[in-house]
Amino acid sequence: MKVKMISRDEVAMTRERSTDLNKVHRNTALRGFERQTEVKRAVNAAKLNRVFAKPFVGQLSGHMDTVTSMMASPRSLDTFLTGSGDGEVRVWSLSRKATLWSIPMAHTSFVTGLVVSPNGETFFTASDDRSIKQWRLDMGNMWAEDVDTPIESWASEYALESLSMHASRYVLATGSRQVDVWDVARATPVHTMAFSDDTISSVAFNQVETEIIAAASSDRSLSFYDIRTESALRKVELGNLINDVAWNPREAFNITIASDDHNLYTFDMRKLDRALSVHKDHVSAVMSVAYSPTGRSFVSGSYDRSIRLWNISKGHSHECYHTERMQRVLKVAYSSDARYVLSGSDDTGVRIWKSDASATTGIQHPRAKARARYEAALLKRYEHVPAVAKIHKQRFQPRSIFKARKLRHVMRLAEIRRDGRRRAHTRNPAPKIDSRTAAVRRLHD
Amino acid sequence: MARRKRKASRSTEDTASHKAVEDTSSRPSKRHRLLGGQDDGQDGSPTERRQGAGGRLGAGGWVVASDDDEKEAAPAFASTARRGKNGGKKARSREKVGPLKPTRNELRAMRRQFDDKVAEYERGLRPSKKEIKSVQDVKQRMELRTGEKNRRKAAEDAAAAELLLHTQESGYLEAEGMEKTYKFKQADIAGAVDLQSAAKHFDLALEYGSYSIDYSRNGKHLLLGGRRGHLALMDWSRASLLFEMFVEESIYDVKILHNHMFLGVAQKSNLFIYDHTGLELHCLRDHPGARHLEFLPYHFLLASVGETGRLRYVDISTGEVIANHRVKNGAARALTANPHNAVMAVGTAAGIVSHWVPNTGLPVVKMVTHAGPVTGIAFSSDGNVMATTGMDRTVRVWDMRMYKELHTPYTLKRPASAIDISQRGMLAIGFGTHVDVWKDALRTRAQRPYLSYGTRGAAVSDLAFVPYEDVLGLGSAKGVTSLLVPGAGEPNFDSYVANPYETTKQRQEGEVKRLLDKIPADMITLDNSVIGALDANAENNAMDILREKHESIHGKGTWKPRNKARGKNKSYRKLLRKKGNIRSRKMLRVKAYLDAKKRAAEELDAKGAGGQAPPPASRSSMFSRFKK
Repeated sequence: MKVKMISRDEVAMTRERSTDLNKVHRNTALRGFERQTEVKRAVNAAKLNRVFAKPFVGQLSGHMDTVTSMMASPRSLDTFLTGSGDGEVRVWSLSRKATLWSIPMAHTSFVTGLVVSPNGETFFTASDDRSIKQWRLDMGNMWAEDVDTPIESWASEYALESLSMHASRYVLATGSRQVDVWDVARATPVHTMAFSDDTISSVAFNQVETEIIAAASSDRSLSFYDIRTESALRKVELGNLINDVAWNPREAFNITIASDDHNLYTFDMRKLDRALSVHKDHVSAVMSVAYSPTGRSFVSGSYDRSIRLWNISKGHSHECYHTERMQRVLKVAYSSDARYVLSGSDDTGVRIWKSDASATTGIQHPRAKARARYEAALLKRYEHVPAVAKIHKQRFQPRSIFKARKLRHVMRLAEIRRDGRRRAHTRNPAPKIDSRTAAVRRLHD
Repeated sequence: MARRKRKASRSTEDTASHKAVEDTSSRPSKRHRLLGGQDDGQDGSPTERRQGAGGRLGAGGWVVASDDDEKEAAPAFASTARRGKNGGKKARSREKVGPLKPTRNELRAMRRQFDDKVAEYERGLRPSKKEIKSVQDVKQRMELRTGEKNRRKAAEDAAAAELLLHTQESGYLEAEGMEKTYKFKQADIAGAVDLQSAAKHFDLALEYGSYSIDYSRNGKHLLLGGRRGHLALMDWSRASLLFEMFVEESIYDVKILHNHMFLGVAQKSNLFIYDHTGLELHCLRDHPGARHLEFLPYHFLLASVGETGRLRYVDISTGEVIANHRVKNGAARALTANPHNAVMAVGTAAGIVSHWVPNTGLPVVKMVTHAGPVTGIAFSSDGNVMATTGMDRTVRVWDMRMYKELHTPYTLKRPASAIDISQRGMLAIGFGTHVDVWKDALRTRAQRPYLSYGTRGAAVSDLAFVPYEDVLGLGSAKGVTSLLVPGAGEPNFDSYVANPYETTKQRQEGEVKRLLDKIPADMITLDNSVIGALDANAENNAMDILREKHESIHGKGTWKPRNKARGKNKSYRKLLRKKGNIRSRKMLRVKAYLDAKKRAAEELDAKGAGGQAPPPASRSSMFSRFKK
């Protein structure tokens, strides 16, 4: 007889002393109901995500008027600059949530544009008062008396609506009745370009394809200029006014515009006959848009008193931030590490929000990090399961927005119904046009 | 210095453990006293016998069982596997010679073994490199590529972990020469194995009726309930009794819930929940006449069925009654859950086994299994095979993927009263006063049992294999017996599923984790793989269901889809039709088509009747070009 039985040595199977870690034995074949367990864990993860979703970090108060322009220093995670409607410019420390210094009468009118130079040593402001000014941003010398006197200033022919800076050179672009390109060493613009006489509401240098400028004008058009050839490249006419434009920092040819028709549109600069995607969720004019440094998401601020976060390829936002006191949002920006979003609104406040609502701040234990990674993977895999999706996607919205969206939905259904009837009773109805194509009214090549 | 110190401390611990084991070997009689039974002399003696036989005892009075075994146990990959204290010397002497290099053939075999394991863990077909390359979208392509890479790595890691870390080998019993395994007595086996294993064979002579038994999920605790009201919970391997009491009414079935702290007992009046001290926690009054219990550990559902033919599910974490199904076809005689998909199988007096999920008031599958009442049901651990016994004296083995019988049934001398399948697929059948264990009875039709045991006059009432042990528990009219069945249990346990060595803290934490991961009852489905899977044919599914339903009644090929025109016959629509005021383009098109069809038919008729060529059509239509 040859015989053997399972006979385990308890000493070998367990820990030696109570301070040791418990021994773990694995045999994954014994684990049953794998998928079901994962779905349940995904539901739990979605619930915990919602429980821990505390996106509001804090408010920067000090401005006495609407915040109209803002930018984070590209060289510091802490330094943040804002300009307001009364011509004041403030330099903030985000970690301390405090003003480092302010320049009360930087301009005599709205500070419409504010950019920090790529090396982070100076910043430029542009205003309705037809001037551009260069200021010192010397963090080591912030108590110097001359921090509130401009290093240089330039006079423009028209009131300036927007300001942007070249990615590597000291070259500025301003939007007024025309697009002006300024060399810092000269007193007058080096180039002046215009498709029409309408006001340019927003101008933006491409930060990758550095010589390209996008400009939105009040004739509802988006135009592109090349400063090497000093010429306009293309122009596309849209259905409504454009309030802001932002280039994707990682996909050099993609640009997102914030429109007065409550939507945002992402365009591929090379194929302007059709929008890449239409982002619909706001219920009032979208005033500002800013890209995350990762290029995977962007943030928008709207007249409906809310901020929304979007995935670049999705038609609907995944996050909606609002507070009872926040008024119409005129400007939004990302912090340089993409972890925070800042918003400037009508109520003179600058608010700091997390870009991931349920993210934990501070140092995390490696086990907590691993758990967060696991939960994120679970949510990604099972976000389409109804039990998960219901919790994962639901967001509380202010009553006004909720009602407006509901009404809009009804109106949209009615429109579809009406269109269907119209088609049924028309001899040769025109082919249906999707909203991405319908966004483009006319294209000038 | 520190190392030496540690070694010394370990050696003291070792001797301590030897002592403990020696104590256990002399315990059985003590155990009997505890339980109020009598020593019938069948056990207790192996220790002395073995000592007399000599040769197998280690230095500390402990059996050197692991020396040979470990050599075999160490897999080809397990060069890093930890060696026992007895194998240590051998390992050192090998090192002197130099590291052993596997031959090319060995390497090839190892590679093949590894690849097979990886394929197992990859779970089905994965997209090929070529298919991924053909994806147009760059981002999607890269996502697929990295996803596949990660998945492959995970499968390889899992396979390597299995080959390296599953150090425990399963048991076996082999006959030599003219021997037959089924002729071996329990005493023979107990005499040939190590002391620790031999102590697992014992007999508790108890006088309170036929016993129903259940082991906890980690195999550590044994709950036994005598028909005449005797209830006891014990840590059977340590021979310590946790509690023993009399409930003063009949006990029909007992079940240890997710851990040994909670016990379900089907008594004559109600279903009761006790804790590990015998304290009554709950009396579930909405389970009258419960005779058979089953517990779903992943769902925390306790199911009961009885003479009334009501299958009731209760969520033991909330106390909520999840479902109450009426099982027809006579009184329910057996209840077992399929461990793969948590579907409940109920065997009835009419010889039917019906499969139930909490969501549906009708059985999801109904199988006619026996000509007479079903007496027992058992599932293999992967849920693919079901074995049933009936009063018609047969044991039938069913494929649960095809719902067909696998091979011709085994016929017994008497109807079987108990059945169970071990983790590694051994089939135990209790009939009359006998127990037969079959080794390969599921996949093929075995000719001879693996082991056979006679209870000496006690009718077998319940059988249960111990998880992660080579032991079979037997409840009979005269008590409870623990039988040695080498090769029955799974040798490598998973600490996160069931840990035989868990500490109190681990048990408590495990309970919380399992409650967090509790699967909702409505996620129990017959096809376990639908959850989280892509339904590639979602649009056609509704039609398919209709078709299948129709064809199951009327035969294949008889189904024609009915395009229902909902709202067509509303009075307003009728009026509009009558008035004909809306002439949509579609309507005109349909009318033209119908006219043409009608004309063509008329022409064909004219051709057939008169034998003359039809007159040319006055108006050209879309069918004109087909006319000659």
